[in-house]
Amino acid sequence: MYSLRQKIVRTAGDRGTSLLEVLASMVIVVLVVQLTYIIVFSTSQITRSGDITAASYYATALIEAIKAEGIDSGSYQFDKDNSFNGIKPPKGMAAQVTITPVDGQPFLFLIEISVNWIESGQTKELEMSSIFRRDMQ
Amino acid sequence: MDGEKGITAVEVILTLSLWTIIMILLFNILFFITRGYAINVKGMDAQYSARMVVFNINRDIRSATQIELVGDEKIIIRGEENISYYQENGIVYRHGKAKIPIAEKVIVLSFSCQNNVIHYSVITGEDDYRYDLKVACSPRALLP
Repeated sequence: MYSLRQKIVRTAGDRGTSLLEVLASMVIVVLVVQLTYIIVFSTSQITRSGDITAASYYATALIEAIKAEGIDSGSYQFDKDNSFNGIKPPKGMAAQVTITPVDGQPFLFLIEISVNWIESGQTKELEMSSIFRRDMQ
Repeated sequence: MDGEKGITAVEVILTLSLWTIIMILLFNILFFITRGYAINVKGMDAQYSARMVVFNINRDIRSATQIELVGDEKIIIRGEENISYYQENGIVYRHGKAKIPIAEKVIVLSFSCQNNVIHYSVITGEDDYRYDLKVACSPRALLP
């Protein structure tokens, strides 16, 4: 007479799995996981590079417009509802612009621009600065 | 041989069901990987095209002595050489002494001008991936 446990072991464990089978299945699983990871990782990297390019051109556009238009010293916030000189920020981005006079240089002004956006739940930031000359009227 | 058990119909059905589920999962993963790869390639192409357009136009605008917009679709940049940029059938051309295609898969290229600053927008890509760059650039020679 077999016990219940012995019966189960007998019927289910006729052959078992060989080491080769286990290794082969592990290789397949690792390959699939790795390929998926590569695709997901490269997608996020491409999205990030696109965002950085868009942010840097947005910051450059603001600098060009500020140099041409000339705005007073101070701190400004630009976003989709409040654009400067018709330059709308890329989707999901906002910019903080600070213009300060350069010490000892009455005609020179420092423009500091910080563009922010959210990527995968994290806030990303791109900073750019430039100096422009504005003659006093 | 006599006394051997063989495989029951339930076992066959169970095996086929499991096999089907595994194959569906594998094909889904394969589809996801292939589609992801294709979208990534399209994304890189779209970004590269947009960067090429911006790089070329910015370089010529900065050295321009006079700029003329023809509607919002064409820019004529005068300097050492007269160069125009426009989009035709999804390709952006730099038309100076010769007509050179500089980027493909361009959906929109539009220009406007405010206070001597040229604003332009480039949208590249295809239906399932679009990349939008908004740029402003001013000719150095025309700055006050």
